[in-house]
Amino acid sequence: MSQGTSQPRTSRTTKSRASAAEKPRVAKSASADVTEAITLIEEITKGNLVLNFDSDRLAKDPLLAALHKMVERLVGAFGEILTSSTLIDRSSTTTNSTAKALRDNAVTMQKTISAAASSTEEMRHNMNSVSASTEELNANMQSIASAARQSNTNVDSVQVSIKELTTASREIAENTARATTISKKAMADVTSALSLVSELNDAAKAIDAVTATISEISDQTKLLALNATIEAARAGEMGKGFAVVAKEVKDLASQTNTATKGIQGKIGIIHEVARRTSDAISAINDVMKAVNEAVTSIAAAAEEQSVTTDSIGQNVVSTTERIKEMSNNVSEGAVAVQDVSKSILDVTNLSSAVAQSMTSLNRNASEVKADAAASYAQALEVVSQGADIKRIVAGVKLPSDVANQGKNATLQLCRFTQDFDVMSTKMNDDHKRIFGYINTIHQRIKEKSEGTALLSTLKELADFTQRHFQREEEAMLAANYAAYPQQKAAHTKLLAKVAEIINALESGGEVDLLETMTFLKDWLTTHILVMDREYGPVLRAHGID
Amino acid sequence: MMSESLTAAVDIITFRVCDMLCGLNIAEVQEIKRIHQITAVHRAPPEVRGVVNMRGRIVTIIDVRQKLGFEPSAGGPALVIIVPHREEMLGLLVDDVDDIVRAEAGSISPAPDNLAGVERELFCGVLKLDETLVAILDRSRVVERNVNASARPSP
Repeated sequence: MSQGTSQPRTSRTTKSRASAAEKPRVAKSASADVTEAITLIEEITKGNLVLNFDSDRLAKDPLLAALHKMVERLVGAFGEILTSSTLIDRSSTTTNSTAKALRDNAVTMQKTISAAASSTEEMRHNMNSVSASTEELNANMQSIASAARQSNTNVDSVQVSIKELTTASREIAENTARATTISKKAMADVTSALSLVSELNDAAKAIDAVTATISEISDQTKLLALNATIEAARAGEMGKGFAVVAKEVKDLASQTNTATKGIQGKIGIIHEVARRTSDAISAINDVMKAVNEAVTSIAAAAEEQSVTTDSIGQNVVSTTERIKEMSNNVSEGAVAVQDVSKSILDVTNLSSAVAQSMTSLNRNASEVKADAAASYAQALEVVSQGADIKRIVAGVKLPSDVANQGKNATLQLCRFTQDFDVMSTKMNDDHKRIFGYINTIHQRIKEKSEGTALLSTLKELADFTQRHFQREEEAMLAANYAAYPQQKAAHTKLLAKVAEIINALESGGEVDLLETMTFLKDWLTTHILVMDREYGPVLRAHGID
Repeated sequence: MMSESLTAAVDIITFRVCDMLCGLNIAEVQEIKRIHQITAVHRAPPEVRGVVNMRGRIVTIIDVRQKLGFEPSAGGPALVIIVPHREEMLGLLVDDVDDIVRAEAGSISPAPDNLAGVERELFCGVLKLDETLVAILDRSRVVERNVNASARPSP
């Protein structure tokens, strides 16, 4: 414990002394000084620091004064120890729970990592099955392509067949056309044959007429011959020669008649044959007509078939093209599938890498867990040591206000102890408030607050610190303080640093808050303890509080 | 006449009445004529077809078919054998005149009693030719007005 704490400590001691009636009495006689001092020291040795000192005697007896001072200093020291140990105890409990939480978090993280690893594994598995499916798809594509090739070949052969069919139907068309021509010519021939037969018939009829005339003539000739014979008979012997002539004429007429009758018979046969021929030709004509019609309809059918075959041929051509197109598409698809397959392989490799990362992360998490456990153990040690200290301090009997001091102490990063006294009430108050800001920031960090809340507190701190520095500097100037320039420079440097931190926070930059806070705390405590405490006596000498 | 035909050779004109081959001695025949038109005679007996004017002389046309009991001959051009009979001329309407043949003595037989289908009294004999028979008509009887198949009184 440093010097310069006598003033408040003295008053506190006096006050406690007034309230403690049962405290060991200090002998009043001067001769008993040494004995009294020994008694007091024995009490102190027992750990009793609650002792009564007579203020009148303290002024006269230097030994008692020294003892009193020692006791006061011990009380102060134990009070500090008590406070600190209570705070350590409390803080270590927090640290303990934090370490425990850290460990728990590490365990949770490890579990999460394990789950993620298994998810990754599953994903890899899925990828493998997707890859297998893709392989299958690829195989299917290949088989489609080969089927398309096959059907292309088939269609080609169909096309050849259709070409042959087209040629055949054209030949049929040509043949039927030729047949039509022939049958038409045959019909014309038949018609001309009919007319020839008709002519023949007519000729026969004409012959008939001629023979009729001949027949008539021969009849008349016969009649004439008969009459001549009758005349000759009537003439008697005279008519005998004439009778011979008449008989010859009659025989001639008879022969003519016979010949004519023969001709007529032949002509009748000609008539009959001509009629039959005519009938036959008519029948042929009918047949030819039927043939002609059949040939015409065959020609039409062949024409139709030719057209149909042509259109089938065109369809087949377009089908071939489509199949080729499809084949190309399938080939492209196969290439695409291979690409997909490759991508899947890449993803699988990546997921393997991720899995490896996961494994190493898991290892790290294990390490974190171990570290957390270690820190938990260390925290436990600290707790135990804090408890030890408390136990030790509890063995020392202290004035009640000092004893209660630890219980009331709050857990703070910066605690304003007597060490920070700069012998100026105003400046001490300012420093306490600055400590309060730092503690608030520390609290915010512990509460894991957002940057904005920190920023506002930091701004307030900067603002207040600036005003405080101003006050200090004014006081220093008023007291003609020699180290003013050094102080001014230190103040300016700090303010610049704080402004820089605020700027960084406002622009969203990366700022290590813990480091910032530690820096502020270190700077301020060092500054107060080293530089500020030097101006205290100077200011007091100039009557500045 | 009959005896004459039996004793000496005669010329016979043969002709057809329906399918029947008949004959007449050419000594009894004036001529053979082709008639184109016959003028019908009112109230004449059935066998008389009518009359024709032949070179200024009236010739009565007797249908021999009708006389012999056949179907009457159809109209149209007709062959007529002109025979003189008691200062007049008669025309025997026949279907066709065939020939004039020489009948040697003894070649004409008496007409058989059962001459089929025709009146026996109209025939005076039968001439046998190579393969056929010629029924010789009795001119007097044929031209006799009352002698015909339909008018003849039954025996």
